[in-house]
Amino acid sequence: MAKLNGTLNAVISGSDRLLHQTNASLNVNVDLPDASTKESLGWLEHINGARDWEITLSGKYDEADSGMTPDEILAAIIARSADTVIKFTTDGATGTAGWTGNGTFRNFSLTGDMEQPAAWTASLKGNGALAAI
Amino acid sequence: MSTSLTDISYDLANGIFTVLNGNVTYGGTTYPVYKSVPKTPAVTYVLIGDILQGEDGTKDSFDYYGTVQVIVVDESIERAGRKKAQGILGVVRGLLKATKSTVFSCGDRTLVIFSHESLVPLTEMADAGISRIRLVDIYNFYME
Repeated sequence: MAKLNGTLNAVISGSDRLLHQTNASLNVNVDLPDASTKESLGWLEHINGARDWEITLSGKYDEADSGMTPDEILAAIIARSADTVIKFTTDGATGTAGWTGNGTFRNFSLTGDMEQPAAWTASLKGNGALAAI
Repeated sequence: MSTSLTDISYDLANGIFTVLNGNVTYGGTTYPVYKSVPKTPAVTYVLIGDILQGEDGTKDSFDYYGTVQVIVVDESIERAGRKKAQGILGVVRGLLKATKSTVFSCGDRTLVIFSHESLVPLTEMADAGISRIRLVDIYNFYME
C-alpha cells in the first residue's frame, strides 16, 4: 500500500468533476449522546448516535473548462438545486474508489486578494448515508 | 492553462521584450533592450534578467509563479550618478504597468499577475574609473 498523492483526490457531482480545486476534505462525524448512569461508576458513557458528513473545498477561481466550475457551484446554491450524487474519490475522475452519497452545496465564498490569484472555498453537506464506492 | 508541465521563461521574457523594445525612450534617446547581453553592448541598456519560477496550479492544471528581473545598466558616466538610470527605470515601469490592473500579452500564455516587488540598486567601479550602475527591478508574476 502506497501513500496517496492528494492530486488524485477528486470530488464529482453527478458526472461533473469539480474543477480548479487545490484542496478537498471529507469530514465524517457521529454524534455520541451521553448514556452515563449511576452504574457507570463515575465514568462517562455514550451510545453511537446520528451520523453526518460534509465536504469542504478550496481552489483558484477560473470560470472556464469542462466540468463543474466555481460559478456553477454558486449557481447551484442560488437555484436551491436538488441533491446530486457526490463522489469523493481517491482515483481522480475515474471514480471507482472512495466514498459516495447524496449531497447539497450549502456554502460558496470567492476572495479576490490584490495581486494574488482569486481564490474560492465551498462546502456541501451530505443528505443521508455515506458509503464506500 | 497548461496541460503538461513546461518552462514559461521564454514566453515571459519575450512578452516583456515586446513591450519594451523600441519604446524605452528617456531624454530624447531610445535605449536598447536585451534578453541576453551581446558581446558589445551599448553603454546604457535594459536587460531582462533571471527568471525564478515555481509551479502552483490546481489539481486540474499547471500554473506558474515567480520573479523576473528587469535591469537598467548604465556605464556611461564616471561617477555614480543615478539620474539617467532611474529615469529609464521609471519609463520601463510605466510601460510594463500602464495601470494597476493591466498585464501584457505573453504569446499563447495568459499572464494573470505582474506586479512590482522591489528594487535592488547596485553601483560598482569598472575600467578607467567608469561607474557601472545596475538598477535591478524585481517583479512578481503568475502565469497560466
